[in-house]
Amino acid sequence: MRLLVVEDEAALRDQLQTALGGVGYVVDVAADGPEGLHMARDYPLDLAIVDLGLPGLSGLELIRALRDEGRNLPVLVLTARGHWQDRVTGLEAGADDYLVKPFEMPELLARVQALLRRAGGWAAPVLRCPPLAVDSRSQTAWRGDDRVELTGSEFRLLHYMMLHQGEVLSKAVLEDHLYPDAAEHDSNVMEVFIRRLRRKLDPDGRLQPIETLRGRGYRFRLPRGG
Amino acid sequence: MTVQRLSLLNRVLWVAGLSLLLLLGTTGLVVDHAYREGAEQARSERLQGQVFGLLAAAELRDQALTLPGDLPDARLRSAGSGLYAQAVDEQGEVRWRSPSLLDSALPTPPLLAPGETRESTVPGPDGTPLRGYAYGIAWEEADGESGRFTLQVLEAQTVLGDELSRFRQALWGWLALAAVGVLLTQLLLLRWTLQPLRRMTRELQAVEAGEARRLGEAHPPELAALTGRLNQLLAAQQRRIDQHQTVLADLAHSLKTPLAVLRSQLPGAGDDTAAEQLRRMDQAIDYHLRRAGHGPAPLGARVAVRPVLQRMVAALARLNDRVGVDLDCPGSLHFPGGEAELMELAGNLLDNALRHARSQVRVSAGGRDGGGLWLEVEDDGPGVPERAVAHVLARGGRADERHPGQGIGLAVVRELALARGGDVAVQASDRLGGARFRVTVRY
Repeated sequence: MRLLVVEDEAALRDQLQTALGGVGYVVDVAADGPEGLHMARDYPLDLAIVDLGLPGLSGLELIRALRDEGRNLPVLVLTARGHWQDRVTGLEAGADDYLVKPFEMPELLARVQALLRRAGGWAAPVLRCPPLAVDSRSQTAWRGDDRVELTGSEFRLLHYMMLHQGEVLSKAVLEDHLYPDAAEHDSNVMEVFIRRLRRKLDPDGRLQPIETLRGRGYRFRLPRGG
Repeated sequence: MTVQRLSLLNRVLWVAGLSLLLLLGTTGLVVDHAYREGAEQARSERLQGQVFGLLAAAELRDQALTLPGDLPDARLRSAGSGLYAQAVDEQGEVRWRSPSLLDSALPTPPLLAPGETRESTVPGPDGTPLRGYAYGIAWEEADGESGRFTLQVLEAQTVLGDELSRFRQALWGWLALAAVGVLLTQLLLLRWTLQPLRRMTRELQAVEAGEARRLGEAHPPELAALTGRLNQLLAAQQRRIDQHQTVLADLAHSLKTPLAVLRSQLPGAGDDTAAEQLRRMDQAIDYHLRRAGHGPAPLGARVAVRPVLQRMVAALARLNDRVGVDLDCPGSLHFPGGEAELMELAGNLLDNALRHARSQVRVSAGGRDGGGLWLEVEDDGPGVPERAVAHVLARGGRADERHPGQGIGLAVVRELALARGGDVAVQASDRLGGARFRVTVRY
């Protein structure tokens, strides 16, 4: 998952980058409104965290600009004032959630996860495509009653694919959102991850949860279920 | 109604009406009097003419005045015509009566010196008063016969009366018509003159209702100074409020961001002393910031309640699609303050209800008898136990530790309501089964 943090206070920006990066998100940061808007336009983002009190271009203006351009990525607003008028105008401008400073980092992470889930059309924190399930809070994956041991990268890939269940995801999209440094290493890093994931999830090859569409990418094909 | 409360229109109409009454009344009386004098004068001359007419026709025969059968005025011959004549001699004996008198007797006039005249009013034969004109004559015929008489001609008073009443009717009728005309013109003129004042009042009401930020510019020069100053005042007030809000926002931003940094640098939040102190600092800042900047708005401005609640419900629906929110609020309801304060009141209650509701929240509002309004937010959550009510409304108090939040929202609501002479009550919701928070606000 690729997130953008737009925050003018350097200390908080670094903390957010560290905390979000620590749980496996790819984090881009911007220090002011214009830079944030530029990055939100150009980068393949899954979510933006925007401080309302930004220099140059206020957070509200940034969100309005994005929405006017038809970009519907989830936006979490950070605001110093807990005033309801600010929250309502923020939500009306197109924000999807708000968090009042100072906040607990776990609270922020929970909100980010919830927003990403909602954007993928999932209501509950546990994504189920029977017999597979992933829990984004505990970062665990299950096949039926058996826990599947995954590395952080493998979990993020599975989580991302299940969030976008049914969609065709090109290799480039997956790289952009999950492993932006992959291109620098090796061009087949994505194939390696997919292969490892298939082997762990489906050792006997009967389930075939991820299908390969030649020249187009991959698709998580197990249907969503309660 | 005291004089101070009398409207300008009524004041001018009263004064104009009274002066008009005085002016036209005096005019009427003077004209009436003049006409009456003229009419009486004319009657005397008419009667005198009758006397001379009779004298011209009369003859003295055997010491008696005789008149021919065909008298100069036909009315003297016709019985009860209202015109009579009689002649009285030195002894006070009636020597001649006009045929119109038939056999009725009239009071006899005194003997007058030759050339002397006298007018008098006497009761007539049928009781109606008569106006008499008597003239003294010394008669000397060519044959030497002589004598002194008084010749009196009488005319019914009603003749003059009828004439006068016809005149008066016309006079007062026209005067009344003139009065009505003048008053109507006054009224139209006044309405036209007062129109800018009425427009100004309407504009002020629009400002109060929050539909306009300032008064219009197109006012007559007499009012332009006033509206200009009012606009300056409104603008200055708004600038002060904006400045105030900007300062608060800056203060919040500059305090809260470092707090956020500090907090996430602490290892484990919770029972740690530093974390607890941070939490308390944060709470204190938040509480005072959210309380600040509210209160009665300039010019008693008010804001329509329903659109604000609709906006809030729509905005919060973005956050929570699990819970349905019903809204029941009359469109005519107004909150006696700014939008920010109303949102603070409603937002904290709504947020609280959405946190605890299972699937349904209901927001309703209405006016109270005797001024003010109430706002209710109900949910179908677990409700607030009675013993926890005071705790819930206290600063930092929460009945349910499982839900995130600082526990100051409801305290802020209570503080705002108290500042406006109202309060917050927590009860069980009959309709939804959860909690029901009811805020009242007085005007």
